Amino acid sequence: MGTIGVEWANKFHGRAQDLKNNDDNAQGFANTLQGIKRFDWGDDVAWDQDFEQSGTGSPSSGTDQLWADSVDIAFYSGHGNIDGGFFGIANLDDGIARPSNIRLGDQNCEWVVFDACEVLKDDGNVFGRCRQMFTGLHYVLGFHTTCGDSGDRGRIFAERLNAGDRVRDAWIHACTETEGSDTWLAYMRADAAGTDTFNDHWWGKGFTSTDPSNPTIRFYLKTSC
Amino acid sequence: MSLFNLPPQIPAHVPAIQAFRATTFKTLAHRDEPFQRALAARIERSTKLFGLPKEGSHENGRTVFRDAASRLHVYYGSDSLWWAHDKLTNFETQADAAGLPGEKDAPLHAAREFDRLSLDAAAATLASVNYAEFAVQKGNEKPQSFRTAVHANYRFELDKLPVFGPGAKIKVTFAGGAQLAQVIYFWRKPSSGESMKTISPEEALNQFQRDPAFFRLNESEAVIDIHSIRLGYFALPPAEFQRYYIPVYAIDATTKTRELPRYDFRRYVCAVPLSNDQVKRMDVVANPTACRMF
Repeated sequence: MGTIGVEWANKFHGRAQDLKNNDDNAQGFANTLQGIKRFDWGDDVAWDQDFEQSGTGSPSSGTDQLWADSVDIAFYSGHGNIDGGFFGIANLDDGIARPSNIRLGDQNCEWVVFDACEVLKDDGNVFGRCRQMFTGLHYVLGFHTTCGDSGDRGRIFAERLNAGDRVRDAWIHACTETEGSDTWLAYMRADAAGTDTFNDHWWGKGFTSTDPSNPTIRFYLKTSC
Repeated sequence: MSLFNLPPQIPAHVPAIQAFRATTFKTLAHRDEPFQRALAARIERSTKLFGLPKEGSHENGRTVFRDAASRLHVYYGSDSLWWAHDKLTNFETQADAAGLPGEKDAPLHAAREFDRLSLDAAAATLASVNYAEFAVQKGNEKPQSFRTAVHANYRFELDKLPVFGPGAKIKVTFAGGAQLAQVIYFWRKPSSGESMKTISPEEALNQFQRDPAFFRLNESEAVIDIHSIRLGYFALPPAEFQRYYIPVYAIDATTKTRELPRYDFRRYVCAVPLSNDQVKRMDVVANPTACRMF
């Protein structure tokens, strides 16, 4: 049975305007997906360093081995932009889970979701920005554009995973049901010799690829919701 | 110094708005015979149109019908459906985009599908035509990108006002040349109700500015540019049961802070001056989270 970790932020202490629905969104995901919920950290105890690799970036306070990279799927719901997932506090690290500081999959994580604006924005350098995130990771799921403060998307995503949809299809489905067509979803995935992450399913719901520990190819898709 | 920059134009107050019921049914219960009969008829018609088997699986507010090539979601909470060809929709392919319908042709192809599928698109207008894009990077090589599908996107209007939200849209997708790849039809057939008094746009902006989401912003470090305010209706996601299209003001704004330089967002303020108590008694919305501001 797969393991699940969620983090979310509604309170941003003036760093950005507060949001309303990220607790419902992330907890709806964790409480719906069939698996073992390992952690659920919100607001002031949701930290960007929980997604970042120890020893990378500055400050280099990453602890992903304890959190995001200790579960099969990690889900963040909050603010975001092209710099990464934007958290409510910045007094432990810099408050942004930056793709340049993220290395997932060298421990456990197969899929990471940034249910936040523009983390996967195609600015002409999306591969350059996000490619090093994949050290065994199969997918990063998120948005090319801004997105709404949905309280339902996580639950719908989990429902589709439970129903046996492929991971990519489940994300496309959840985004399309919760956003207008002005919003663009996106994902990036990696493959290596012998892997087939395109056909990934949630654990126990169908085929799941072996890990692309040393990716040889990366794919990016963006489409309107 | 104010945190807010008001929009350059505030529309004139429309003192009343037509209410539109979004369903004729009281419940979605198994014992609600009118609903069950209507659902059975929708399923019969939809599966026949798309040539799918009549046996489906019940999955969270919808029945899903599948065959080897495609799947169809028929939603209970609205008159919505979503058909998708598994191999063509959002597929990762490096096929030449030259065979895809162009921006002018895609709506023409879509209109033919509306007729063929007998989809009621009378209240819909073309919103945009755009392309799904797929990119691949082998090793450290320069990435290559491809257009894989073209979407014709439609939005709905009621009484000449826009219907906002994820539950009011049509998307018709063509891929693999001009093959139909996907039909998303999210809508609730409306029926006119009574006329309701509205609050003014100025009052809606006042409510917006009192939103606790802004309380922690410091005026010396943050600014909220309000770009526009528009009267319209709101449609919940397709699997949600919704009794009325919610009259709303849609406010588009950007919040800028030192640490998050740009956050573009839309907030909806309920446009009719009803208390939560009245909203419930009048059965205006089925979802209490969408009563006031969201």
